[in-house]
Amino acid sequence: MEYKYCTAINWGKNFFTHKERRQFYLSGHAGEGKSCVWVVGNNIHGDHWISKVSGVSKTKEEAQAIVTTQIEAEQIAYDALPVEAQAKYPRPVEFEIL
Amino acid sequence: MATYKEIKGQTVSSQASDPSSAADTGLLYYNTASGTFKVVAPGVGAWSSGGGMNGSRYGVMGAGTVTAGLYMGGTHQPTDSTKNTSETYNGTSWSSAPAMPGNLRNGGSWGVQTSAVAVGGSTSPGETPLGGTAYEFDGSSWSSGGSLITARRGNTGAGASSSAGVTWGGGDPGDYTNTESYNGTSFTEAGDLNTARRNTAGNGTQTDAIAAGGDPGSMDNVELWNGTSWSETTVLNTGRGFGGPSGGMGSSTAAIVVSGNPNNVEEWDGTSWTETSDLATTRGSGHAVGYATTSTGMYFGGSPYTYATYTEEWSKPAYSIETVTTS
Repeated sequence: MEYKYCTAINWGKNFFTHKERRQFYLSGHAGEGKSCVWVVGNNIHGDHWISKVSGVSKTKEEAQAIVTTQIEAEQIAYDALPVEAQAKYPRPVEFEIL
Repeated sequence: MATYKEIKGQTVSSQASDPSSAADTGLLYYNTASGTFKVVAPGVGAWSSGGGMNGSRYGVMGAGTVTAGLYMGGTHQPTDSTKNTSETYNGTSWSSAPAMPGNLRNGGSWGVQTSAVAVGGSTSPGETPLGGTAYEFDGSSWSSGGSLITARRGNTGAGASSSAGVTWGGGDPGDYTNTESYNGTSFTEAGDLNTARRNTAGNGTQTDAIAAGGDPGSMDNVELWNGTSWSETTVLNTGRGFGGPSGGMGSSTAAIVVSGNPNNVEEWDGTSWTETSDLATTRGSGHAVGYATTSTGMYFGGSPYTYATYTEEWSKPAYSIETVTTS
């Protein structure tokens, strides 16, 4: 398994550090409320980071479902905008996490 | 098998402490204190999380550095309202700062935390009216300055202070090549871009800047500004639009373009573009700052909604000390 998955709220400074970014893969994706879905490189450094941020472990399927639900909510919100507002940025698109 | 001395012309040296200069990059040595072989490797850039903005922003503008930053205006999500607010960054957190004289988003901006300009863009949630008046910040308050000769949105800016800047591109209607130079009082027409566009990544000074990518059509064109004219140079590996201006930091000889669509990061060394570390939370239409440097900087705001308050800080050390391991 190349990646692990979790949800966690980005608290800001030092939620992830330069050193951690060099030690393992990390990408954040739309989640519920202030929480994001995080795709984390599966090594000891990634495990330590999940523990540090009190990440709630998810399966890949669970993580993807959260991302998809959030994107669909954003699509609904986008579709409800006036046309001139929609012209300012693209409609959110479905996204498959790693 | 060839020996290290046969390859390098010297033996592996023993050193009591690690070298402290990028000039030693490539050096392999034995550290007698740790009892390990080490190598001085080229520095590798990476992004870390920074303090969250107090207001979520899309199409936000900015200035300054990672330890003394400034954002202004932008579109608040999800209310889709254009803002006049600004905040300052101290390397750890964002704090409220005075409001601009008017609402503004997707405009050009430049300068430092105590001497900055925002100009162009749009003043309302719709695409018009366009923002033609420069708003200047002196570190404690905003004032109105000179007006663009050609009002526009999606323009990008570069400059060291509120009295020395340049802005280019943008549009509405269409896309512009126009470049205008600012002296703190008025704008003057300057050399046009070779390729009309808006929402370029760019940064630099009034006499040394870079414009990369942009809209429409996720362009890969890159042009360098020498204070008088633009010249085409090596294109991006991946063409991209940013949904807003200024997804970049640096100058004509060392720059980074950040995120956008697609959302990888590329680094410019004055000759070629190289893929480098991506943001953890990729997005477009945020703002990157890192005046005249690519060793430190930050990217804040942008979309989608979830990330609209996020800040990520860029750091690229000149070199790093790596322990040699076998596996």
